[in-house]
Amino acid sequence: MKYYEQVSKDFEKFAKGHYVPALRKPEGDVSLILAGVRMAQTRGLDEHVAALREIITMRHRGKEGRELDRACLEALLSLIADETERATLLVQLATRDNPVPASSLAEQELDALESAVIPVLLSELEGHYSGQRLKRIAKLLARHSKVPCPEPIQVWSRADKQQQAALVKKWRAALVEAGLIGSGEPGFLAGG
Amino acid sequence: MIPAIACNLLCVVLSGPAPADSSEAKPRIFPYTQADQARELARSECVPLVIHFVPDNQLGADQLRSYYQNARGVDADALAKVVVIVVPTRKFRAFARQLGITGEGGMRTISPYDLSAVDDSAELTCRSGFV
Repeated sequence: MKYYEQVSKDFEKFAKGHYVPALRKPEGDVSLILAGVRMAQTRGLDEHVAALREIITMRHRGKEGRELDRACLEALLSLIADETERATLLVQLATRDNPVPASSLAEQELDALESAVIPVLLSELEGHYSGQRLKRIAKLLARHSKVPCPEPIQVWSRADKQQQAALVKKWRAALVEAGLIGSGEPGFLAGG
Repeated sequence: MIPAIACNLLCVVLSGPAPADSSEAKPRIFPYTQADQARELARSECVPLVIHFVPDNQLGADQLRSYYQNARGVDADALAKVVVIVVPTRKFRAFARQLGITGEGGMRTISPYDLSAVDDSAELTCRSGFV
């Protein structure tokens, strides 16, 4: 009995000394970083969320890189307690100006959230992004809400900030009418 | 090849009753033929891999029984913090030597990220690391 207890104690010390520091070197050995990510997730080390956010935007290649992206996303979703913050992370990752390999994983996770992500997408539209990012957010919102964008995306992209704000207001009204979001302040999730 | 007695014992240990307080009990002890699964489990839980070398005879089966049989073996809580791979020493002599096993059996602990070559056609090896 004592052997296994000592082994797991020694391993914790080893892992803290080797795996966790790897989180601060996102360009380093991928298998070490993966070990650090797993350790952060399984031990609930939420102080490393910032490091995980950085790692997930790196372009790690190959099978190990994909495993790292997936593990990093799982760890972030498990360590971030707030539901809105989790949804915001996924939306921002899925709609980046320069998509990374983890962007498609984030979009898959968004699909699982269904309508719960609608208020977050609407908040992001109010962030006055432009170009491809705006199109991605609008496309996701239309898909998740089944309420079409009030104007074609091309019109939206050419609009100035004031016109965009008016479009967002129009879309918000349509979503409220469809019962998909509350009529309260932006950012609150609809439903119970 | 692990003799039939040891194989049967492994089957009992692997499919035996789950720890009383675990609602997600997973096998913790794997034969060398499932080293890949053992490695993945240990990685996902970030726990160490214990390589338990046994001789290819009755003595090996006795060792396994004394360590892992419920009544007098390793405490379930302690076992939950590791993953064990049972490896026949005579089949993997080079691997055993790499981990400092000079006799017919023994235990060594490695990080799950240090075990490599887990397919049937390759010899098990270990990078230097936590041992």
